Amino acid sequence: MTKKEIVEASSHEGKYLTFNLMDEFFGINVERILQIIAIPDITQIPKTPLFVKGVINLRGKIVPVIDLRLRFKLPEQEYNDRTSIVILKFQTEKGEIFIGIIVDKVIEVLDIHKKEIENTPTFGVELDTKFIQAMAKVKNKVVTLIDVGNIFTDTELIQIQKSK
Amino acid sequence: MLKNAKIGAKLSVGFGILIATVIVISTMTIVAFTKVNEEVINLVDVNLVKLNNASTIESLVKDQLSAYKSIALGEDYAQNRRIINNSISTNNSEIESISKLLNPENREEAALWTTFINARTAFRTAMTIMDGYIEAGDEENILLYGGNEFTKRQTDYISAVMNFADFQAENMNSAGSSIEYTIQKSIYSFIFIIILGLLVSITFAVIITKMITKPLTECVDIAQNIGSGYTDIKISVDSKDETGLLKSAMKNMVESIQKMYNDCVILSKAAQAGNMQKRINASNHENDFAKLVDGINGILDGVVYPMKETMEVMDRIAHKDLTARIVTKYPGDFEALTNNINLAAQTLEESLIQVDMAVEQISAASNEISSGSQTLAEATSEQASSLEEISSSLEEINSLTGNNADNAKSGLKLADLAVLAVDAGNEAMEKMNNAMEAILKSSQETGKILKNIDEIAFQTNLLALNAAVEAAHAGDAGKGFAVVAEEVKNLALRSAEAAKNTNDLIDEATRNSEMGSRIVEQVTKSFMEMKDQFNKVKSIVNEISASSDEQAHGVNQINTGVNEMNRVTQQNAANAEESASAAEELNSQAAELKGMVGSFNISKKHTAVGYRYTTQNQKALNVTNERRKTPTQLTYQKSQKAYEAKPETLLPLDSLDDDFDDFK
Repeated sequence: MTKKEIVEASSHEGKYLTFNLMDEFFGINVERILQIIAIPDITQIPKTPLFVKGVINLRGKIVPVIDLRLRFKLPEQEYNDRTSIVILKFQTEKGEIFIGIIVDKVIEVLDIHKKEIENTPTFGVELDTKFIQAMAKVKNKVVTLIDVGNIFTDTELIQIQKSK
Repeated sequence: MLKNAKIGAKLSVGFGILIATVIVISTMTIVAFTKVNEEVINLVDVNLVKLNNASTIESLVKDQLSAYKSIALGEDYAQNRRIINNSISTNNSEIESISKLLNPENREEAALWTTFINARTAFRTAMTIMDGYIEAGDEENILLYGGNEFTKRQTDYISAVMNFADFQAENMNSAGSSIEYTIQKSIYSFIFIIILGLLVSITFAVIITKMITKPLTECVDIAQNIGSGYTDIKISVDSKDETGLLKSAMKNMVESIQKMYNDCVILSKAAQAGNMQKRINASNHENDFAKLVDGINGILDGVVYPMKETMEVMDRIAHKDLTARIVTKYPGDFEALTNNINLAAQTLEESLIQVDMAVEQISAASNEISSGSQTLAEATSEQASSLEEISSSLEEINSLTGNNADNAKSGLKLADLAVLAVDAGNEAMEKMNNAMEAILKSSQETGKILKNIDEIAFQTNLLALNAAVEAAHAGDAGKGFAVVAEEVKNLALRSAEAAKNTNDLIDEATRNSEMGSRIVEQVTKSFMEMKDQFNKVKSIVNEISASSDEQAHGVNQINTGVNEMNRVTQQNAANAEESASAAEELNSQAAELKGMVGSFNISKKHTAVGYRYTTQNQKALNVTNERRKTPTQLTYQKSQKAYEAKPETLLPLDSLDDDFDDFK
């Protein structure tokens, strides 16, 4: 492990919201999270990418919702009473925007220390490594820390934004 | 006197009496007829003429009067005068003929006749006066005289004539009565004479006829007796006429026949007594009878010689020498006789040979029968014991059948109870089902509540997470809040856990209830099926009960049949024993017979004769073999026979044979 890598890894230290996709544990830094809600009625929007499920009304604001499973090219699953939406904040040139991601189940808010964090492995992960920020080992579980900024490209964000 | 007279004399006496009677009757008839004839002649020739003449006179006088009346009236005088004259002349002739016929002895007639003559004379005088007046034409006097004197005279005249005529008529009447009396007397005389003659004639005829016919009838009887074959006839000659001669001739004939008959009887009795040497003496008989006697003697001789030889041969045969034969040749029927005797001896010999062989066969056959009968007796006793077993088995079956019927009845009661129990169970199951449904309902209600609790816990969890996120955003200031959020989250998780557990329990309860419901349904269905089955059981039990009754009836019938079989079997056993003893007796008798046959002298022709009877012998042996092969069949047939022999002992079953067929 190089020095830079260690710095990078330690820089990921902080509070993460953990959730499940395909029974795998994922984590998102709470700084990017606006709110967590149960899945409401979703209004579908035509001519959008497949992973865009539609929009929801969040206290007067129109928020596009994407299915993270589809985004990560995982098999789709029907929504149930544990399916939740995590509303994320994005800083663009046009200002701050909100996008909801649909996850199987939210678990808890965890403090992840730098000793628990490892760099992105080169193999053994089903996801495109560009989405992965780091891996953490907490309470005998492996949590994949997602790099929210890399989930969507800028064009994708524009496209998503258009769908509002 | 008459008895010894010839038949001609007897007949002459009889006919003489008859002829004398006829002569007497004829003479009497002639006398009577002559007398009657005289009287009739007197009547016709005298009295009738007198009467007729008197009547003529009367009518003529009446004519004269009418003529005079005509004249007085002036009619044709000449004609009337002629009538008067004619009548006068006729009267004269009539009077003349009467006077000739007058009976001078009869005074009354004479007096009447005198009166008549006087009346006539007076009338003639009156006529003369009348004629005088007529001649004179004195019509006054004619009428006066004619009316008085003339008419008076004429009336007197007519009355005189009529008196005379009446007298004659009376005379004739008395003459007729006399004739009638004469005839009557003659008839009585005739009847008396005829009866007397008939009595005498019949008496004589009967006596004479009897004298002739009695001996003839006796002779006819004798002849008929002889004709009928009787010879012992007594004839007594008691007259010397022709019948007496006939009887004495018949007596001679009968005596000849009797003599012949007696000799024949003596001869035949001697022959019957076995004395064939007795002969009839021919010199005692004459002519054809002598020849007949010679013939009879010859017949005896012809019979005696062959008989003698036959006797000798028969004696030998009697002493069991069956080889004896008649060797002399005799003519005619005796040849046939001797041949027949020889043939009989030969046949007897052959028969005895055959008997000898047959006796051996009988002996063998009786042995067979004896052993067969013993086998039969054993089989019958086995059969009897089998029948005993069958009988006791039947009694067991009978009691079992009774038990069956009782059990069926109690089974029926139990089935009824079971049906009731099933109904009760069904009702209970329905209640249980209702209870289950109620449980299910409340479980569902509880599930809804739990869902709400779960929802609330989830929301609380989200709230806690949001609070944690917010607390993180707040940095160090949010640390305490983060702890609270953590606590809230834990509570939410515990709530969710508890709700989940409760839900699992509720789910299980629901599942159990549903399962219970299904089970109840199944149980109900089973109960319904059970009810059906119990009903079926009931009908089956009923059938069993009826069948048991029928079975009991059938068993009784079988029992009767078995008893009958037992009886027949006993009879069979008795028959078999009898048969066995009969066979033994037959055997001993066969041995005896064999001994008897052995005592005959028949050895000479044994082989030749034996060969002749080989085929029959073979047949007899075959029969014996067949018997040996099928002793059971024989006994069966025998029992069958015994069974058929007494049809009245048959049981009154519908079809006995069929019933027994069922048990084969």
